[in-house]
Amino acid sequence: MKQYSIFDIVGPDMIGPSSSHTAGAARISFMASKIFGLPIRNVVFELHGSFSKTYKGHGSDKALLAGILGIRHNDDRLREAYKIAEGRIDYTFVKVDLGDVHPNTVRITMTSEEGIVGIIQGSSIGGGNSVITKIDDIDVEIDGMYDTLITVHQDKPGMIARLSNVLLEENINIAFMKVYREIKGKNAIMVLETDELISRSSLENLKSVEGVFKTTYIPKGGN
Amino acid sequence: MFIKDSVSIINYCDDNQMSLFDYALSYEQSLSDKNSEEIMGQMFHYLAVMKESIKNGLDKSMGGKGKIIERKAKDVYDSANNNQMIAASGDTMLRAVSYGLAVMEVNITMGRIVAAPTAGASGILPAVFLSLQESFALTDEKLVEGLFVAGLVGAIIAGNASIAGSKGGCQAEVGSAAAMAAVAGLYMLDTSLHQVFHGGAIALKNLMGLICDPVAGLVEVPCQKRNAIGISNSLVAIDLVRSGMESYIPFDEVVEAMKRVGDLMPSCHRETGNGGIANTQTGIMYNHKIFSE
Repeated sequence: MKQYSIFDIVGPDMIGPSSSHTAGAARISFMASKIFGLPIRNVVFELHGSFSKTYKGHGSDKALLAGILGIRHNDDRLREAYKIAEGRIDYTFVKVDLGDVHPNTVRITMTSEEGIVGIIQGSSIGGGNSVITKIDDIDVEIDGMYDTLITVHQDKPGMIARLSNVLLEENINIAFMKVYREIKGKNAIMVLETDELISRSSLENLKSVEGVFKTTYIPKGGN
Repeated sequence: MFIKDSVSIINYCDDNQMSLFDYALSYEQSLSDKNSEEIMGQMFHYLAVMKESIKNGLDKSMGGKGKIIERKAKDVYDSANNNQMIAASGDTMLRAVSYGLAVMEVNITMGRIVAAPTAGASGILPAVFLSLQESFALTDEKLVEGLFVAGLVGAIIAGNASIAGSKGGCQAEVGSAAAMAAVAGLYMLDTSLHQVFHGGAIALKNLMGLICDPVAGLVEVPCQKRNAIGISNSLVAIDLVRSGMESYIPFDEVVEAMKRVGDLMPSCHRETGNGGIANTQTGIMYNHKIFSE
């Protein structure tokens, strides 16, 4: 039997009206912008399933835009997302069919000032919880329930050992670890969920490991 | 620590001379790396947000209106406080209902609420809790204890059935919230450990089979008034138990029954906006009107 936290039942505090279409939507795009990690100039939201049907009625559009702007699901400014985005970010909402995915799914294409493009897909799975299911072309599963470290690195022997050694030095316990890749020898993504916070200095050490292209850190509750 | 059903929790509390609040707090600590002060602080914060959402909902100058519904909480609140008008259900009941409407109206207009257990049923706990605080001069500390007990009840329901309208219909949202509020309310009024879950069983039974049929898929019609019914149902269940009534069917079996009823519910009655009152002539008219704009 699944063990729910008391706060899964009472909480979260959130901007209404819908836990899955408003709070969950804001959490997806908040995580997406964190994972992308660059100042965003342009964003395209492709809405699938019930997101595409009810997004206006439930304020999913404002919630998604707010998350990209770094506004959390319980922040009153979520309502004003359009106004806050003015002059800062260009945005587009498109209704699409993404195929056999969760009914509340959105694909977010972000473009930075320098023209770098990142695509992140996520689903709102109920009760305000959400999960990131794709980073660029790679399938992942990130729910932000733990302190989460995401690395993009070269797919070669020894990478996982080198990265986990850095965490060992700070006595950080890894709760869950998943490694994903598209093609052998190319980019791989590792998602590490830890019991302890990773310090700034450890993050710097992780970044400097040879073969690591990018690290993203989402502290627990960042979801 | 583990959450299985009400019987195992009651037995554990009996054996260890614990209250339901003690159990809920220890359980939460066993899941989390936070200390009890941080966990309590989180719940005090939620209580504050709940009270603020009632206050904001009773202030018509805050926020706009819904896509369908008008802001009515303040009118209902005024009726409850109007000496000229005798409320058929009593002033206390009507005032409690106005609190729940207030929260729902804040939620609909993109204000801040606490999902308890969901946004669609978010009016019930704040309304029952504030009403009991006013009637019985309960402290905020007691209310926070009550919120933990409510969470414990919801965790039993979520683990054994569901708290999502898309899975179990409205019985899983408004029904669960009413049961949570009834058990927690009885706890806060110092009802014995062996009696409190009767309130939850009664509240849940009374809404069993309730479908989720939101007009145009919005959390407005019938959600606003369903919260009013959840509140009154909860307060009545509390009074029945305090008058010595019990549920002939035990709480855990009511939850099991609710799960089976939810599993048999067709998808048109589970939050899709295609069944029940959503699928009436007027319901469809609202849907067209809103989404053709």
